[in-house]
Amino acid sequence: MIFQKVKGIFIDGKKEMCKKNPLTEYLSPNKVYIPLIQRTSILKPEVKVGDCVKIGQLVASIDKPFSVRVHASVSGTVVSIKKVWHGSGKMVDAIEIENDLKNELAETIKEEKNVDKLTREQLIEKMELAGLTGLGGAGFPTHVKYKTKAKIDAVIINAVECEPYLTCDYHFITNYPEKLLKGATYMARAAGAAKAYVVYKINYKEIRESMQPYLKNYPNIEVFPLKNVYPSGWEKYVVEQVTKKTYKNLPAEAGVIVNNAATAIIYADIVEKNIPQIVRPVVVTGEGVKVPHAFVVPIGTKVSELVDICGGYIDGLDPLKYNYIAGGPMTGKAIFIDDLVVSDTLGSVVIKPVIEGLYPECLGCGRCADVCPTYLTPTEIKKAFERKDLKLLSDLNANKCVECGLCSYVCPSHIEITEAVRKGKTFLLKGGK
Amino acid sequence: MARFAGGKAPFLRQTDEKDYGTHVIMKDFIIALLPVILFAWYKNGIQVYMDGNITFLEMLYPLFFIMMGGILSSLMEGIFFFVTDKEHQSFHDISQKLSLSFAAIPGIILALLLPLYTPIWVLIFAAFVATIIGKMIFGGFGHNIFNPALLGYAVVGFTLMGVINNAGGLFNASEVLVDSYAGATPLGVLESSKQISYDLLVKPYGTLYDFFIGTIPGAMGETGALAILFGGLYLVIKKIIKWYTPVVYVGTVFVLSWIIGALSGDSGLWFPTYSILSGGVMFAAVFMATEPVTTPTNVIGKVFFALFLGVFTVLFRFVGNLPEGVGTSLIFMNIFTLPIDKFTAVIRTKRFTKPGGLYFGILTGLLILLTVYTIVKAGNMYTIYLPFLGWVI
Amino acid sequence: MKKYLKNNYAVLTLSLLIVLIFIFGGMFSRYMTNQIDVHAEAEELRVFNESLIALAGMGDEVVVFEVEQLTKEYLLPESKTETYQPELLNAYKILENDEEVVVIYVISTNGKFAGLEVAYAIDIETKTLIDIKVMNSNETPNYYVALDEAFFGQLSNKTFDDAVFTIDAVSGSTYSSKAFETGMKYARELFARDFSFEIPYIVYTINWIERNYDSATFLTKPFIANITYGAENNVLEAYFDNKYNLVEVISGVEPDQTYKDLFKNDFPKTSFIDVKTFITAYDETLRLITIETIAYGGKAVIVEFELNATLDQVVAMSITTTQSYDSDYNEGYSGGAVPSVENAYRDQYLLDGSYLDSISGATITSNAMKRIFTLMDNVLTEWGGN
Repeated sequence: MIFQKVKGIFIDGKKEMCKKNPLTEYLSPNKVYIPLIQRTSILKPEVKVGDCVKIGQLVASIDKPFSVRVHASVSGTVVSIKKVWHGSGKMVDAIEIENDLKNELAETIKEEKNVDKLTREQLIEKMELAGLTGLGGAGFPTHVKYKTKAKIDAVIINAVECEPYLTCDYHFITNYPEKLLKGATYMARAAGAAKAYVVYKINYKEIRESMQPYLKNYPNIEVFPLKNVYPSGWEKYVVEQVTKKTYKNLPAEAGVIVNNAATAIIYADIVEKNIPQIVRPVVVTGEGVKVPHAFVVPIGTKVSELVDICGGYIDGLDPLKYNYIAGGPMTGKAIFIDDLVVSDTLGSVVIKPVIEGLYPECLGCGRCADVCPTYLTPTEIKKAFERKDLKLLSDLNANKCVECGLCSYVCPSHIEITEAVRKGKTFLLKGGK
Repeated sequence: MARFAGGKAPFLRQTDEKDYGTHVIMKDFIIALLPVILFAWYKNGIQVYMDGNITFLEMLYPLFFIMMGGILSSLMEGIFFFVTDKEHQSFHDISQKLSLSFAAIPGIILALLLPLYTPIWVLIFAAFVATIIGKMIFGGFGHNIFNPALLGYAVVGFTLMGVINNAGGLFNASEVLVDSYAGATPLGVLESSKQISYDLLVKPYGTLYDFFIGTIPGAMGETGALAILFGGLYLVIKKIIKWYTPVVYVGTVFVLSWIIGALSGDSGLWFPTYSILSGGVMFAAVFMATEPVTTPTNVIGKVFFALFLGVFTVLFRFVGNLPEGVGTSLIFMNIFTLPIDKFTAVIRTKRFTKPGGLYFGILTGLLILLTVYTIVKAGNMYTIYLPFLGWVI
Repeated sequence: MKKYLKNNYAVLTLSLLIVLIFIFGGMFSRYMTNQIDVHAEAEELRVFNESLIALAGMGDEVVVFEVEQLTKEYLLPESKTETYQPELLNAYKILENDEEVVVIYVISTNGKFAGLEVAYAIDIETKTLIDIKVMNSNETPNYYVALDEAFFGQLSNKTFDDAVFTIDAVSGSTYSSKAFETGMKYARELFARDFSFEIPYIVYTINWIERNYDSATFLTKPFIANITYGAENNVLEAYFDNKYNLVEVISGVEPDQTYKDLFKNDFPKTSFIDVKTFITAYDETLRLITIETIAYGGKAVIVEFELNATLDQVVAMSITTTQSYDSDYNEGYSGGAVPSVENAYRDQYLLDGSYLDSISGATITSNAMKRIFTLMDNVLTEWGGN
């Protein structure tokens, strides 16, 4: 069918503003706030106020629906459990740990000697114990993906990062190219797959160049370039491009598992040093920041500290004329108060001006439908939602929306069409409530 | 800590770029109309003036007339905004609303659809019908069901055609003054004669080349196929319209006319060519069947729309009492834009699964029925069955 | 009031603009509609002028020539006495390189009906009627149909210097023919007035000749003729004797001897009536009428008819003849001796009043007999009413 092929459109990346500045490691903030939430699950704290914690010590966990484990990212004292702004746009409880700057490591953190002898089950168990989640933004627990019963042919490491402004993966990979290849190898083993692909955007030559010296040591890894379009980093697009196969719900149907590049790098440390997932790359960028930077920071670091390192906001910034976006500008959320903490799902903060104007009504040009990567018809979903027509919404597959934001992006009348479709999707998923 | 602005994803918009947005689309429509406007001016004014047949003042009139169309519809909408919105009654507010409503475009198209010599008061009435009744009553730009310009044209065409004819409309200056054609427009000849004959339909106006260039009698903008093609090409290159809408529409008219011509005993290619070059087919294909607000939004819908439009155009041309089937069929098809949008969206989503296939089958069946009916009617095949009727009785 | 204006200035301005467009735009569009007729007229004029140039066969520009009527009466085609005034409708000059080359008079004359409008194009330099063009006509086809190319050919390239300025009428369309001739003459009069042209003045025209059937006088003055003559186109009506001498003027001015000689000379050539046959004697009491005509060899054939009491039928006739039949024709004459031809005609005439066909070898004598009978019949017809 002509309609099945995912396409994309070119969006000006605006990545140069951050790309030129080097990756900054900021590993010991004064305080960290470990959010007690993972995707939609509320975590149960494993420590009490006043407890001393070491780096890598388990602080919170939950078993259902999936096993999720969160670890302390600095050593120090648990000061309190208080509400902080989370990247999802809500205020959530967080464990506040005051850094004692001693950098004491937990006992579990030790060199793994027989890396090559680890079985597939052991590798997956390591993922679970380290609390490895997808660092691309979705935060899905990685071990769940690997516990699939399907036959996996290949693991795809997604280094595309198609959202504009963001350079988080770009910086992380170019700094740790070998770790990426190692992580990819371990992941392929964990999946029982023979091959691993690293996909990247074709205009990021640096990614390929940085990996080039090591590639000969990893014969089962193939580097695969993708077009510079949005949303080329979308899982389905990546899978289609690499395997020429498509799937309905999970990539496993096409015999692949897709993981973010940062996840792979973290996983290399997990396997070799047993360091759980306690750091992640974050990029603070946008026109509202003086010198945009990419960071590697402990989870729970306050974004305001990172902004200060970037030189603060630009002079004379009127906050009400700027968006403080948690996540990328296409899919992120606007945060009202700049009191955000880094969580596993927060890969970026973009501070960019709000452009206001007077816009006419929808003229029915159909561009939203043309660009939709899932071949939905946003205008009709919007109308169906306004009529609360549940059957039509399901006929229109409103639940298939990936919220890539392209429909709003191309809309010449500046209509919040993505938001309308999102509402329709929620309405449908909740069964009309 | 600072309080930042809210908003919903995505925060990046193409409208932030300078040359993007609905106003650019509408501006491109006007740019695409320019060759048509210029040709209308050339044919009705400049050329005749250069031949020394009219005065300078008369030469300016076609341009004046087209501009009046745009100005009048803007004024009408301005008054409408004033009357309906008690809060914003200053010039600044009204002009801002007008710029978001693209008020001038229906008026300009309306003027291009009417013949020169249409009295100004008829134009005022048509502009009133087009903008107020056709557009603002429905809720303004983006909410109108019917193409506003077309609605104005149709209402004036049904009610005031006699007035226009009396004032000398229907013909263009060049035809009246230079060659003094004795008859009506080419389609009028077809309508009255119901005969497919080259000598009758094409000869009096020259050759098909004249039809292509547009030096034949007709409304201001509709005859210049070449100028319209230039405009259409610009729109396609700028990706304002999809190329397949005009192509499917014109193709349908072409093929159906060919079949009808062949059944009537003349299978020459001149008749389908004549069919697409006479009347408003080309103008409608480029500027009205692609008008975003009143036509379907998605690909399948556009193709459907264009296909049916072609069928109905031919149908109304041969069966209806009006010589021009394009306007009537467009208004007729405008009604179905919303359902077509809905069903084709489902078809698009479900990828021709059961319900989609059913709709598709029903609509295609209808299409075939109509085609057959058209052809039968055009060939007067009913007369063959009359003896049987007598036999039965 | 001020407050109202302040609140509503926007809508008032917009409405005012619409009203202005309604008024001035409406005027403009009305003007355009009117211009259609103006241009149509201009186009008509252009076509008309082109047709004039085509008629003249030269020139490149047509200008209207402002001239007045010329008072000049002409005989009505159907009458011998009543006259009428042809009407000059329009006059145009055709210029070639700004030089007048042709003048065109559009003249309305009377044919069977009034209003035969014809354009006469006259070459100014050569003083020639170049051609004519019928612009409008009320003539019914019946009266018009016989006017063929040969007839119209007489009207092209006809020089004005001819003293005898006539055309041959076409039988069946006599009235229409006369209308053209009158127009042509009137055009020459106009041309003479406007371009200092002198009409050759020794000119006369026999308008018509009639036979005098009055029994008291027809022996001495058998013919009545209507003649136009002289530079002033005097119209004369007079009796002529059988030697074609003018014997008595009925109306008009008596011409001088020059004209009388001209008449005498041209009278026998006329085609109006048969002028070679005369009544030479009439005895009222015996109802005897003698008719004489010149036949073969210049010798006379004389027939004496005896009429019945009511003077409407011939009861007997006696023929005096000295004819000799000749074999002029190939076939020759094969009949009896003189006067067998005359007798054959007599017998036939007395039998049923009809004439025999010409007898070959004796055609002239046959024709002479026919002429005599024709005249006799005409006399009977004229008298029949008395």
